[in-house]
Amino acid sequence: MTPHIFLQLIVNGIMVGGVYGLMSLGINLVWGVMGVVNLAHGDFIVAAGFLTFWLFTRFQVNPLLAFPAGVAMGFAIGVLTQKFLLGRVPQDRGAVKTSLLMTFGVSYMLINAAQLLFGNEFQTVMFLPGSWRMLGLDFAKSRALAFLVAAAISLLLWAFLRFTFIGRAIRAVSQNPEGASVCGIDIDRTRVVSFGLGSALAAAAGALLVTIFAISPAMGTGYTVRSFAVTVIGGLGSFPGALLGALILGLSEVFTGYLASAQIANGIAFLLFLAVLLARPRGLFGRAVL
Amino acid sequence: MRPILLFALFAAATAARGEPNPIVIGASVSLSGTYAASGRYSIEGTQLWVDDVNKRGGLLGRPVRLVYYDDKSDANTGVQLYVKLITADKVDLIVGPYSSGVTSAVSTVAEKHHMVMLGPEAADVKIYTRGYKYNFQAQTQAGRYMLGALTLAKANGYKTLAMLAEDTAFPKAVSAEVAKMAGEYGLKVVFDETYPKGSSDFSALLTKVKQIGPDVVFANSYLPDSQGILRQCHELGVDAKMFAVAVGAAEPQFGNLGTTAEYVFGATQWAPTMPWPGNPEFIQAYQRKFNRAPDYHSASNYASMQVLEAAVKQVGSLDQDKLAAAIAKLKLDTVYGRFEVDSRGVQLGFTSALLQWQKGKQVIVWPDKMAQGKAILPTLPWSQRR
Amino acid sequence: MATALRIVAALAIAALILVPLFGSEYLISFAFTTFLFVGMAYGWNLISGYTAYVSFGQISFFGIGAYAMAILVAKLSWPWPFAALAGVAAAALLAAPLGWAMLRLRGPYFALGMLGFMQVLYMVASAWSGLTNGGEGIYLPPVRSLRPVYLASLLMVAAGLGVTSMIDRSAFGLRLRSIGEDEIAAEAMGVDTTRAKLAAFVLASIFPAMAGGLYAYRLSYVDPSSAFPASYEVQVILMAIFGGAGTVWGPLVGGVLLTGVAEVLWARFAEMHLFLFGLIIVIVLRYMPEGLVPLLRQRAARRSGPVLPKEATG
Repeated sequence: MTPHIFLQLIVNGIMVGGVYGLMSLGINLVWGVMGVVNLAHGDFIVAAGFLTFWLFTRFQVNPLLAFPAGVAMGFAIGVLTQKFLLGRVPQDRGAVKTSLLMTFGVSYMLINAAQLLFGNEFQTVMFLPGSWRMLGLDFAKSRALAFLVAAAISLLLWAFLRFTFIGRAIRAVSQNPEGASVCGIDIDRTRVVSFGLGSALAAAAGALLVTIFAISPAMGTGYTVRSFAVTVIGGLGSFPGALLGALILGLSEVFTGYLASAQIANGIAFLLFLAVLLARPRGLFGRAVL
Repeated sequence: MRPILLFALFAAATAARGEPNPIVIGASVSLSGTYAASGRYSIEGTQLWVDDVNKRGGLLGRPVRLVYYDDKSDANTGVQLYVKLITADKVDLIVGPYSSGVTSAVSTVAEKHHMVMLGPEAADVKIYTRGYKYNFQAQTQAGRYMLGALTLAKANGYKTLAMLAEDTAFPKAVSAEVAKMAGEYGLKVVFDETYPKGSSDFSALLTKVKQIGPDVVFANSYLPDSQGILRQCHELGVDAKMFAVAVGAAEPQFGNLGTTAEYVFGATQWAPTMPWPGNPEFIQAYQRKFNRAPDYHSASNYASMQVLEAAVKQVGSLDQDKLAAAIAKLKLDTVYGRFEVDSRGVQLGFTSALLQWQKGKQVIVWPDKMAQGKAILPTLPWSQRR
Repeated sequence: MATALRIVAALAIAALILVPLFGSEYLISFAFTTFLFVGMAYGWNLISGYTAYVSFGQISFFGIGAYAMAILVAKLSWPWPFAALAGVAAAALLAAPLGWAMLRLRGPYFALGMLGFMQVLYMVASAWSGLTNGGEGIYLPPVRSLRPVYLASLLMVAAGLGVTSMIDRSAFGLRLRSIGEDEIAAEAMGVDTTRAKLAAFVLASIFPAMAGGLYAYRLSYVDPSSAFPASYEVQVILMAIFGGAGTVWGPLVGGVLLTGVAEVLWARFAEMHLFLFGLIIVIVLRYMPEGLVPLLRQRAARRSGPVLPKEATG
């Protein structure tokens, strides 16, 4: 492997990692705040991707402009899911199991709905073909753009959580729901916003992904597991951790694909995931939850 | 009391006017999953034939009806569907599904139930070398797909070949056959790897290919992958003197790639300009019914139905054993070319042609007797395009 | 009342055994598929119903059973019953260390861990083509008659019912339930939770492994995507929770009812059936999270009035 190839692989890995990061931020938010594992996460990703595709091919809407539409859709569905389904689950010892299974159900509803509305085939948005050449390395345009947007959103999210009232309410609820409630924060409303945001982030990732790869409704589950893998690797509750986990995953996939085979690269996410779960469940930077 | 009498009379009248027993044809097709785009063309070809035969008075004097289900591009589901079609729906005739992988699995069902099955989308020869008596290949052999590309490569003096294939039956068969023949065409295979079904990121494999720098690159797979591979070749700056894909370039959707599709060669087993009898009429009728042009999957399915029709007429009944014997010896000129199988059921008659995307249009460049234009070689490097 | 129930049960059992003799191939096939799911539901119930360790990866064992059957029958010409048992043994052997590692994780971590494990197995099946033929898959010799496999699947259901019934009434079952209710409290009371969980996990792995083996044999073909069908996981879980997780009859009731429903949905609403499945899951969880069997029991109990302690009638 020449240094040039090495660097090119690094570039590829980082760019893919950027989008993975976006996917996992949504998981972190929802899981960290509410302890809910959203198994429909990957399907939000795919559904938003398809919406973007549809707007692009039917109405020639520039994907950058269609982006907010996908995000809004993700937010709306997330809010509805939390308000009318998950939020109504009795908070007893069976709550975790029930919520888990419920999002399972929602996942199937989303996949099928996307199939009915947008068709079953693999679709992609050919928005910016080709790449930019810098320093002798190729930066695929679509991936670079996605990376930049993902980075921007991550920054916005960080600022939101740090400086806005709702953002701080979300963090408070994730750290200590009773304490937050005592301080006058409306727990239910915070949870609704939180889940909506988590879904919106997933949708954002999907809207970006569709400009890079071809996606199909059936791919949702794979993305769900990948998102969780990244979150676990980086550590639950830690945003920098999630981003770092994403980069690690992106790089692992690319290097494994080059050095070993595509089959193994496909599964490296899960191998890392399992390894982390078993050896150090709280990941790189996570709080010691277990 | 009176309304009931009236109703009874009405019912009796309707029953008396009832239709004769229709002949039901069963099929499973990929309406979702990886093969969905091509699957749709396939079933449309079959549907067109059903319309066509009914307009001509049906088969054996009976109207023909088509029953089909979605196998989700999955072999499993396909098997269950064919069992359902044969044992629960009790269809009279069946026709095969899309892709060698699914056909391979369902061929066993057909064989077990002694039902003739033509495989219009099964290019893998291995399916037909298992000693089965009721299964017949109705698609060009996998080994013939890339003949055109190989011929052109040899004619232009190219020396090295890299191949990527999906890890399933048909793509691997294409790669294997090409590897066997490469030497005859003066080519050395310098890269031959597979990726799992459902992959979207080929960058790692392509980085390896770029490092090797072959003259020719073959992407032996289905439409979504063919598109993805070419797109990523563009993004990674993987240049070659010739890019060829086994499946996908023949579909109009391949043009979505825009300038990335330029110069790409693709195998096609059928084209509108091919001189097969009934071809122009087939195309017109298809365009009228479905509002889009047919592709070669539509044509191969239509051709399979033509073969079934000819066999049924020859035998005069729906007896599966007699039909099997008839098809084994049948030589028929269809819209897809000349249908003829060998003693194992392997397709001998159908061949392939080669097209190239030139200025946003598909142009057949080989063989000469069907060519609409000349091949443009070598391919312009990505960095020099706009 | 009990006698009537026993007569019904006897008739049902007789009917089930007679099906292969008089039923059409489609009926046998349908019953076979139903039993596979019921068997798997019993397996899931043992680990996730009683101990509340929700697993999303029981299909891992299904795949192991399927590949064991394929490899032993197609490549080594074993008779299929032995291959099925070998698959079960392989799964159980794997479940022991796997469970020991995984069951240390709580709640969602465990669930996802199992899901991740299934994906890893899928990857291994695709990559290790020397053993599994990779994406191309393995072809098995065609099955001549469905009757033997049907009977095997019936036996599996009987085993599931029997084992669950025994466990439910035993001290072991009580230990499992205590883990499901409050693991920390159970440990505090001296229950060896690690051992109990592990035993349940290993037992639970047997059912999907057997189901996978029978399924592969019947299909005559195994490849990674048919050996690890993710949609089966949903259906099995749904059946168990719909019928009632942690009950003896829940998986059977849930399995039979839902397979029937699935068949209708698939035939009538092919385009929408997944959506409807998801919807049913959501509705069940929202309005009857305990499942059907406990719900029916509650209704029956309410109708027969309060049960007075014997002393009160004194």
